[in-house]
Amino acid sequence: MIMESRRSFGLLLTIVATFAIAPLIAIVYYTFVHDGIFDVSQFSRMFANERLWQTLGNSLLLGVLVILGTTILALPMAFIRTKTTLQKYDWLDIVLTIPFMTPPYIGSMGWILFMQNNGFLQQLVPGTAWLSDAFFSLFGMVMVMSLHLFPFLYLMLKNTLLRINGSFLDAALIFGRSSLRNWLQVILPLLISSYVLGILLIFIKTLAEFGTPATFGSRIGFQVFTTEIHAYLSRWPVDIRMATSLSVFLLSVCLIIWYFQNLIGRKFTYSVLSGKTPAAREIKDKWFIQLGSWFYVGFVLLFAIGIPYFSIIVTSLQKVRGDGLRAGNFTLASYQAVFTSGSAGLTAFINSVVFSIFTAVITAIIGLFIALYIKKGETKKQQLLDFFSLMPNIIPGIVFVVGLIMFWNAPWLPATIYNTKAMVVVTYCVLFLPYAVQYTKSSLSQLDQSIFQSAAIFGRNSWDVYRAIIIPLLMQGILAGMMMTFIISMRELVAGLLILPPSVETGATFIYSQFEQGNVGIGMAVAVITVAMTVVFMFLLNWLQRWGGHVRA
Amino acid sequence: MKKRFKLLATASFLVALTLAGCNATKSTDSVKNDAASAKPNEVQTLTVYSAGPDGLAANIQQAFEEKTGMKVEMFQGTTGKILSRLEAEKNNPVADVVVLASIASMDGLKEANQLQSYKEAENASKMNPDWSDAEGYYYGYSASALGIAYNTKNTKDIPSEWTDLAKAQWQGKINIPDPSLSGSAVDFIYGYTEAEKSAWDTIQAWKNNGLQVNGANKEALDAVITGDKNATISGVDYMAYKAKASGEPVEIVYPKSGTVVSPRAVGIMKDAKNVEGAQAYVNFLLSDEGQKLVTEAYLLPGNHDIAVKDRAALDEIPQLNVSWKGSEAKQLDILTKFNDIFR
Amino acid sequence: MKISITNLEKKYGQAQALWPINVELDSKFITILGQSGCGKTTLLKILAGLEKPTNGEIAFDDTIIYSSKLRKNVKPNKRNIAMVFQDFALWPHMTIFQNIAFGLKGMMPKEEIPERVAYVMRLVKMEGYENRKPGQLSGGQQQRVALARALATNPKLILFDEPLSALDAVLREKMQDEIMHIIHELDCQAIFVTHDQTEAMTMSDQIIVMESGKIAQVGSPEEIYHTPATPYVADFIGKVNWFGKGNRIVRPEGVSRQHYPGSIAKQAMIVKSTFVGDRYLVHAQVEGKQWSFYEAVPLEHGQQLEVFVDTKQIYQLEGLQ
Repeated sequence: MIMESRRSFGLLLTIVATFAIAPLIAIVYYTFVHDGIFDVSQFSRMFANERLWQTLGNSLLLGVLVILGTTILALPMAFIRTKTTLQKYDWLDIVLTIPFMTPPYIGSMGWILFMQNNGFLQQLVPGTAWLSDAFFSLFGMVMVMSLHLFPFLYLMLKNTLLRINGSFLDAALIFGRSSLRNWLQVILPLLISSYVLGILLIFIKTLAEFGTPATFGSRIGFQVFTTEIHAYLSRWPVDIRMATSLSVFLLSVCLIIWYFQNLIGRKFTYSVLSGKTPAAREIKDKWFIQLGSWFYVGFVLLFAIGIPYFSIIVTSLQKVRGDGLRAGNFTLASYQAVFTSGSAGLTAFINSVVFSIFTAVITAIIGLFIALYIKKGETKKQQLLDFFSLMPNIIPGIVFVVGLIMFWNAPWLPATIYNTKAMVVVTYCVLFLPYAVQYTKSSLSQLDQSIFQSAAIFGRNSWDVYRAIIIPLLMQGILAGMMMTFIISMRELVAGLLILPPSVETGATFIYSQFEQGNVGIGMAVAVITVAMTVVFMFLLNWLQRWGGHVRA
Repeated sequence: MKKRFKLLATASFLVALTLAGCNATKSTDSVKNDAASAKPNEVQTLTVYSAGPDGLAANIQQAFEEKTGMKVEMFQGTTGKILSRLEAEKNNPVADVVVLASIASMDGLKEANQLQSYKEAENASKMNPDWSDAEGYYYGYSASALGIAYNTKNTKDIPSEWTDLAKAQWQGKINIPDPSLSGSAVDFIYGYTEAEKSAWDTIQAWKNNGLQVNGANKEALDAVITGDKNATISGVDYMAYKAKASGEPVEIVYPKSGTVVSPRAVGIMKDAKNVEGAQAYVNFLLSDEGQKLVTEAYLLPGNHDIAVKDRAALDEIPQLNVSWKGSEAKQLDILTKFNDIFR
Repeated sequence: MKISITNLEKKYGQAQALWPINVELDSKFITILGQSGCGKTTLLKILAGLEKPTNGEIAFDDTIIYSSKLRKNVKPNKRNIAMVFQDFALWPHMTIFQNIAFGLKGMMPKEEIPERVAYVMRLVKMEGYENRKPGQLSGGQQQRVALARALATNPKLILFDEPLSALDAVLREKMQDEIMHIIHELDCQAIFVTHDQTEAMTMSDQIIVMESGKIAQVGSPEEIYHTPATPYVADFIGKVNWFGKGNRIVRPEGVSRQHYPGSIAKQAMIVKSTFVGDRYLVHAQVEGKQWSFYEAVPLEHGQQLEVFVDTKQIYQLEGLQ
């Protein structure tokens, strides 16, 4: 049948191994082998460094606190969007994903500009200086990161809540003596497995996050793995072996955490989910529940979108930044500068678009074949490929980036893509392949196995089967994956900072470098344009999914 | 059998597509790089790693390209970033010319045998000898002076000495660019601590007064512009002049006890593929035309004869007595000491 | 217990899921029968309190449990009912014991719970499975546990939502017997939703036939079979031969090849004969309509013959002359 032969396995494994596994081997090699001899001295040098333990402590603490923060934001939101009258407002989901789609360093800059001494808050509400002091602390950092990451957990929880078999809840309503007990003993336990997976991914995303620690964290002197690795690679004095050692260490931490998540998750996994969303029942809430829900949603939106975007947009429109919020201090000059043909900002933005399109197309194709091979992951080989292709999800991007740099600079390689634009695309592909695989896999899982069987029987040859049956049926999932990959590639920062060839900037690195040495107003204008385009894409994505839903129904 | 063949065909199609994707993006530069290794004489592309000010680097690139018809591939970043890039690329070097904002780092490159000498550079004799290498390995083609940049709206008593900023009225209102990101900040701390015995005490006093270590030069200055902080220690003067010219409420002072002038230097990489082009680039930077572009960016020119624009001239700036010879190793110690205090 | 439903209606937006319904139910075993989408499950869920009706009133004896006028809506867990779901709905993270004990907590002293669980497990013949989890049981076993959970709280009324549709034919018949047996043993009533007319016929004392959101007929199985209220009911329940111009029907048992006094002769052309175990079901064309009747031997296709209709078994549908 389709994608089952040994050769296709070999081929797919080769692709995944070259692009995703080899870099990891490269960092391990670079860390432990010195002048061709196995050598652990580098690793012991790292452990001897006090700062390692502080960094580890900081990263883990941050991860745990962000789990807490995202839970506080996401869990009530998931309940509000499934159990109250607000369930019918689907546009809320798009709005709620905007924070996640916002490049984190821009969100952080927005918050910093808003909260800093003489910042926008103090200009709007004098006498709030004490808030600044409270904000520029670990608390503020956790808040900013939680506001960025919570949509991810929220969507996971919401989808699980929606798909929990409706009669489980009906049965609880009939047999349960109190609704509190129903919640604690029926609904929450059924949520656990997806919550555990969700917080693992949040934890790893927190460990992998570079933008916020680089902007906010450096301000409050809070160093984490990513900023340390980045510093060893790009700050004077450079210490590449230290960077690879830290990467190996971070890699191990993530794999260990992932292993434990698997243990816990397996224990709480039941076949609780019906594939279909149960029919939504009409809900009538008491007025205070409705009011409370709206208040909560409004509050979250204000903090996750309102405040950072206020700062970003205002900054992009300011004439003289030192003059603050004052009538007459606004101009479209930054936007004009960006849209002047050949401007650095526009070029960088277009580079991002081109890289992202390439990434989306390539990952979609590889992802499709991997998904077709993996199917339901029943054989050992399928599981292996599944694990490899999803690995970039559980390993922080910076580890891959460091690995890719080491690998493509290896002296024995006959040819290298390092210092070319292809390097950027390859790096993005490695980082974002899991999205393509996951989207395609999930749309594959909705197809009945009999479709493949009938295709195998009636199709004249396998190319026809792909062209006429499988690709059209999976198209919606593939397109959704491509959109997602595109959006995420557009905002990728740390990979760009470390691997871009000379003369090339992406939108993200352009914006970032404007903070370092350029014109912040223009940087923010590019940010606004990027996010505006992202939001348009998200509406397209949503429309695409609905449209697909109609076709299927 | 037939089916297998089809499958293989599909798979190879996939690989071909992947590679095509890569090829399409890499086309221009890699083709040129390949050509570079084959016939070094016909190269028309020059790769420059520049820690230059954003606008200036671009202006120089444009003027140079117009004048010579050569194509410049420019990688811009902080001094730290450029050094790390050179380190990572040791196995297959790319850069022809490096421009760094720190003489010490440039001297380090020379010591590490990564530069080549170009004694015959035009106008070499007109360059400030304190900023350039006697053997022609690098030339200080421009410089910035480091002062105290302060917000004119929020500052009542204008500081006149470094030690002023340890006073209570500056509590929580001062910052400094991060020396591990900013070459000029390392230069400043090196120069200040070399020339002034009580310097470390003053730095400790700043720290006690809430000194924030704030990213790269522009980030530190931006905090002053937006009013988050009132003053930046080791503020890079040309950035302050530029912000002031665009209407921002910022001004710079040079303490009377003296400050550090941080030269920016250009050098040719030892492994440069396009040596001719690299030499032309150096010549252009040292030429009167190049020097004028430098002054347009509010920098101090390496050639004393070129007039400065809307800023203090070199002899109007009180200077500390600093020697850059062999300073790199010392700078490393100083950086470690600084980090120990602030982290 | 008498279940009184008055003017009960349910709309989903503009769509009318239930037209105003008025009915009184007092039999021990009641079936709601209808095709999918006829509103039978909606009615059941309204009785359970899982759906809120748009209008109307429901009372159990003299207690009003729902009234749109009085704005009264007793919660599902306060209606003294239990429910057995189509997909069993056993909570997968709890053991069988915990599943059954869940409804008992706070209802009886803690120390009596194990005894009660053991009792209902015995009733459904599932002793010894208390510590398993639902995922470790077969479909039939899960169904028994679901029934045990429903029985445990000693409810006045048990609602069954097509509980046997997931089981195979043999198991289904066995469970039908057992459910009937248990309900008749205990002091409670059952409302059983099904789309299977045989199931409805064999199990119930009272059947409600529903058609597109309306009640078509309420009556005992015999009444519904012999005196269907509408053509829909006549067609839906058993086989029917339409007769003459008006809405007169005769069941296959009323048709035979034997002539006897009081029977009417009809010309029939045989279409085919199907073996149904003990005899043959013969399909024939009579006056241009499809008829069927039983015969001991198969009749050949195309054969022309006379059949005789027992006039006593002809039924005239009301109001549709």
